[in-house]
Amino acid sequence: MSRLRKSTESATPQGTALRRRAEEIARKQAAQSPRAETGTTSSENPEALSPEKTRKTLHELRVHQIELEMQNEELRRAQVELDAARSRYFGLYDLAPVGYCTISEQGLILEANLTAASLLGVPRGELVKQPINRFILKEDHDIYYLHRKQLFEAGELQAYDLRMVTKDGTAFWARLDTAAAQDPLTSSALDADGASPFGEPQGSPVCRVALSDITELKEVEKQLRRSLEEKEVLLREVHHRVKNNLNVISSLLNLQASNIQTPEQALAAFRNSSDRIMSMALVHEELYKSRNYARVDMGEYLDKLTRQLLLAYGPGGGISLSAQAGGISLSVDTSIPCGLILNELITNAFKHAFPKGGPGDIHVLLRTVDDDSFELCVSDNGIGLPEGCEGRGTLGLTLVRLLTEQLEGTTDISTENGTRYRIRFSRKGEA
Amino acid sequence: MSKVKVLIVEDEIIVAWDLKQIFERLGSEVLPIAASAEQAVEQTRTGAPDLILMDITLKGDKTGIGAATEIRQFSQVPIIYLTGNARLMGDPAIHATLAQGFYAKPHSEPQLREMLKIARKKKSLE
Repeated sequence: MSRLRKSTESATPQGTALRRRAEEIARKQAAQSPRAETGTTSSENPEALSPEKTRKTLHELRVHQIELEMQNEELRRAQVELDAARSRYFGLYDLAPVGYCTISEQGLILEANLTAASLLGVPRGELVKQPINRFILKEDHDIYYLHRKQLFEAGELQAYDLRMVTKDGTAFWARLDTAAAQDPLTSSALDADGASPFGEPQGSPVCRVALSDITELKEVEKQLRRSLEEKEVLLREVHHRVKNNLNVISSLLNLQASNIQTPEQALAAFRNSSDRIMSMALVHEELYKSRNYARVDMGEYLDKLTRQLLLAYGPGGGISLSAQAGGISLSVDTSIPCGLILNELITNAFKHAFPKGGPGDIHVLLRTVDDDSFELCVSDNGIGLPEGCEGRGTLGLTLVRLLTEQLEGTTDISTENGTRYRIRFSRKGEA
Repeated sequence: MSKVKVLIVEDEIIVAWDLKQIFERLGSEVLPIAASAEQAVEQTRTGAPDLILMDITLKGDKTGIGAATEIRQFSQVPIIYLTGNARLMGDPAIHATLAQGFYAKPHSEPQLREMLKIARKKKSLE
C-alpha cells in the first residue's frame, strides 16, 4: 500500500485530476453494468469471494498497480527525454547560425527557424504560409524560379545568390543552398489546405533552404572587382606609357644621330642620350614609389636627378648643385617633359657655364606661381650665354624649346650674372 | 615639281620633331605640327597636305580617328596611321576613314621613304 499512497501523494494537480476522471469512469461503468446491480457476478462482489480468491485478486491488483507505476515511470522518463530532444532540436534548428526553412513546391514557407525569421525581419509566426518570393527582390525573382525549377526537375542541390528584402524593405544579398526532399510533415503543417484526403505516405516534395546573409561578402567582392578593373586600366596605361617613352627615346636617338660628324661627337651623343634616358627612368622610379602610380614627387625626383648629374659632371669641378621643389608633385605626362628639360638645362650649365672650372653654383627651383601656373627655374653664376644663342642651335636647347611647347609653357632667359632659365607652365590637369 | 606637303599629327613633340627632320631631309615640306585633332583638321583645311601621318592618341578628347573622320568630309588626302597602341588596329572606325595604311611605332626612315614615294607618285598624277 505504501507505493500506492506515495504515488497518490506525490501526484501533481494534473495527476489528481486524472484520478478524479478515472474514478468517474469506473463509477459510470459500474452503473452501466446490470450485473453489478444484481450482484450475481461473484468475482466483482468482494463479499461473495472466498478468502483464497480475495488474496489472489488482491495480489493481482498489486502486480497490476506496480506494472502501472512502472509504465508511468517509463512515460515520465520518455517525457524527460522528449524535453531534452526538443530543447536540443530548438538549439540545432532554431538557433542555427544560418536561416533555414522548408518551402512547398508551390513556394509557400512551411517551416522556418528563428534565424530565418530574424534575417527576414518578421516574427516566425508571420512567416508560415507566406510565399517565399514576398521576401525576394522583384528583379531577382527569375533567379529563384529558375533554380526552383531545376531543383524539382533534376533534384540536384542548387546554390545561388540573390537579393532578398526584409519586411521593412531593406534589401540584402543572400546565398541560398537548396535541396529537394519528401516531407512527411507537409500535410499536417499545411492542415486542410494541402493535405490529401488519403494521406500520402511519402509526403509532398518540398525544398529545404539554408539562407545566409552575404551582403558583406558581396561588398568585398565588389571592391575586389573594382580594384581589379582599376589595375587593368593601370596596366594598360603603364603599357602605353612604356611604349610611348620607348618611342620618345627612339626619336631622341634619331635626332642625336643626325648631328654626328666626328668620333668625339659620337661619344658625346651617347653620353647625352644616356643622361636623357636616365632622367626619364627616374620619373618611373618615383612613380613606382608613389603607390598610386600616377604622380611624381618632384622633390624626391630632383634630389635623385641632381645627385646623378653631380656624380657624372661634378667631381673635382668645384661646382655645387642645389634643388628645391616646394612639395610639388606632378602627373607623368608633365613630369617626363619637366625631367628632360631639367636634364638639358643642368647638364648645359655644367658643360658651358664654367669653362675655367669652379667655384660655381647651379640652382634649381620648382615653385607654384599662382593658381594657374608653376615655374621651373635653373640658374647658374657662370659666364652666361653667347649672344643670340638663346634656345637655338644645339639639340639640347632645341629639346628645351620643344618640351616647353609641349607643356604649353613660356620661357624667359636672363644672362645677367650667369644664366637663368625660367619656364612657366600651366597647372591645368595638375592637382 | 613642287614638294610633297606632309602634315604630322602627333602629341609627343620629340617624336613629331624627329619625323619632321626626316621628312625634310627626304625632300618634302612639313606643315606646322598638329598635336590635337582640332589642329589636325584646321591644318588640313588651310595647308592642303599631300600626305597625313596620323597618331591615334592625341592631346584632348578626340582621337586621330575622329580627326580623320572629320577630314574625310572635305578631303581625300592619303592618311597613314602611326601608333604605339596596337590594340586600336582592329577598330572598324579606322577602316571607315579609308586610311592608306597602318604602321606601328616606332617609325623607321625606310618606312617613311616608301610612304613618301607613293605620295609623290600620286601627286604627279593629279
